[in-house]
Amino acid sequence: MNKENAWRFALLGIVFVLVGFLILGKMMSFQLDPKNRQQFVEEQERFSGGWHTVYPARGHIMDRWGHLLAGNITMYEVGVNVDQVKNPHTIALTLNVILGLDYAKVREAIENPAEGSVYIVLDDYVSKENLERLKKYKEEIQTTYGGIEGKDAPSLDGLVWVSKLQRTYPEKSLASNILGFVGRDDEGKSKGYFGVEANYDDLLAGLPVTVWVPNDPNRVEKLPNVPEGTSLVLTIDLEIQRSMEEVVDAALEETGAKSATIVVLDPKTGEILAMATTPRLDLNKYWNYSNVFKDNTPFNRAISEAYEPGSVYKVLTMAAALDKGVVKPDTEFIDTGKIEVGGAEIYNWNLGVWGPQTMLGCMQHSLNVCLAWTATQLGAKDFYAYMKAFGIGHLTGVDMAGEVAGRLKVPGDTDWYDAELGTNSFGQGVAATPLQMITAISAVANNGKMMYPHIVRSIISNGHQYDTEPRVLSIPISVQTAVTLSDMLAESLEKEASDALVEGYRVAGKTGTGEIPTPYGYTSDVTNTSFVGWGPVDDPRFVVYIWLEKPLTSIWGSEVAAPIFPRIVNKLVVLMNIPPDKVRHQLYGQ
Amino acid sequence: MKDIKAFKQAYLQTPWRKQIQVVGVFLLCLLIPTLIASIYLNVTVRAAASGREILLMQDEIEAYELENADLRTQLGIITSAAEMEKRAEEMGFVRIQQGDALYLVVPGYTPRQSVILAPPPIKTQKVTIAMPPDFSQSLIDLIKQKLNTDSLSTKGKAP
Repeated sequence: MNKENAWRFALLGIVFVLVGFLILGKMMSFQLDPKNRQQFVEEQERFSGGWHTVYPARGHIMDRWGHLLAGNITMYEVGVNVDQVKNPHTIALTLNVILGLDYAKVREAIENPAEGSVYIVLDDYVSKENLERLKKYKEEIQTTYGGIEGKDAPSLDGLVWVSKLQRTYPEKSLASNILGFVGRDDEGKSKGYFGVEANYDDLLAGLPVTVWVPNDPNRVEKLPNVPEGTSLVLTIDLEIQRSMEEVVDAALEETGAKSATIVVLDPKTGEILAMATTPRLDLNKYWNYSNVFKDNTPFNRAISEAYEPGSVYKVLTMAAALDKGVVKPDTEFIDTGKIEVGGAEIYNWNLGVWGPQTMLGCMQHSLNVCLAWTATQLGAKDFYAYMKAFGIGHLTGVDMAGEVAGRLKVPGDTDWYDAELGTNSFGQGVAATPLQMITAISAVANNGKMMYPHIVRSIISNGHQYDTEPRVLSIPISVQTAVTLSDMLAESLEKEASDALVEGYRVAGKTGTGEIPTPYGYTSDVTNTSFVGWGPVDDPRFVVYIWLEKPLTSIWGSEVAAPIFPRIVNKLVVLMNIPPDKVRHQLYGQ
Repeated sequence: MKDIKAFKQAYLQTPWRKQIQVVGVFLLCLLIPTLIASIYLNVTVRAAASGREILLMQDEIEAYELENADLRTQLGIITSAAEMEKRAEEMGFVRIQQGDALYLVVPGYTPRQSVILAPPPIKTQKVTIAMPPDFSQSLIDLIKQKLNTDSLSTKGKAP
């Protein structure tokens, strides 16, 4: 070796040895100092990959024919990778112009990120259209200023977006009271509120899976196959639902009522065919909820608001009395216009005296005195046993969130008095939801069987469709009682020449006018008007319940609620392919 | 013998042969690790490329899923009740009224059925495991079995 070069080699050797010692020293510091080691491990983990939660697509909701009622649409989360940002001003300005974000807030978030954060979310649920604009603008900036170096050069580097699915409702406000909506909870996670979305939230949402996704392509693994959330097929018919909502809106306009509710049920299966009420919300703008539902207005009055139903309740009283055998359709009652029950005097709706009446006449003229007498003949014990069997005061168990039980005071309760037997007989002093009423009365239309009311017809999970079978909720009355009462109510409508009659179809029904309780007693100038009806009487395909809250044009159910029934039936018979009775009998006879 | 000794001596004493030997060994030492390194590099690069491809494909699948969801919703929107009614009215259709319908008996007609979007669940039957013992028995079990079989066969059959 040349002596002149020896010192160079020696120096190089020393440098290598020193570097070696430095490496060794650093390694030892990692090994011996736990704080240092922990920091190193954290750094390594931070850059080696990330936890990725795979959210399954939320299940769809469809009507009975497969029309989409709730689906999913792509939305975007916009954020920045802090390390890649070159010009916070350009990003803040762009997001201010395109997405309407606050310039100062965005700039502040980018320039002063939380310690250790590498990614910041700037906006969520950005629409596809807005994202396209953003994408296009980013490309333009890149093309125009891409080659320019310097701190002030316009740049959108670091601005990124991630796609995700958001709930959407193609029918907007149609059937909104049934569906409910998907919003975000306090932690920002998706959550179903009200109706079907809330009741089946876990099933619809599916099970999210969190996996570690390494940045190192050598360590990449297949993402787990996360099955979609369960899809639901509802019992409702979109066309019937739509027609009922049109009727509800028209009734509200014509009568000036505070609210209107219509429920259509298949008495043989308990399937809810339509449930229309007011107000309704465009579910794609669920954040307007508090503006639409003011002053504790329930989301779905049909299941969440109990009211004193008035005379439609007489159907249940008469059903109980006939079933127990204390009266028959031709049992005579002499109406003196007044009866005392438990110390309380009960009068007829018009304060009139109706003289000798059969039970048919009592129902036809809706005589409170006669029904109160009937209840006394039945006795409190049996009367309340029947009411319980009809499900009054209990939840029906319908598969929608937010159902209330109403109230049925029974002997033994501290606030029950003997007089309640009389008043309860014609629907006063007892509170029930429209769904409870229609479920109970559907027993009369369905040979004494009360079917479990339900909104979900099928569940689609893991590639299979599971249909729900109709279930009997209770059998409060016999077949004979049901047939007799159904016939009585059809005849009473015919004899009364009621506005509820439908040309070509024999229907049964009963009107109801309920005074509204206040802290100072019952009001007479504002009422709850109702009508319950079903048809065709010999083969019932539908039961309809109508409730108009505080109508202004008339206080009587026979004048405001009953005329709505034929309008509904005329739509139902077309949509459900039900021929007029005469035609049907001819066709069946062929 | 003399020739061999002379040859050996000549070989050992030739300096350029020695140099070739050293260079050959050095090159061999260099070549083998280079070969191993290049194979390793090649495999690693291919694995990394495949991994990257998988990641891209996963992104692609996700994008298709989102597109599917979008398209399905789009279909829902254009077939929504309000849209369909609007289109029907534009085409001159009017809503049928109760008295307009004419009812006929159509032999073989089946009423409209509710939607079936997936097959019903398959009824599961109890499966009897009929796996041959070869898949479950250990080597010791096999030997025992063989021994038993052999001992039985040597005993012969009863007349």
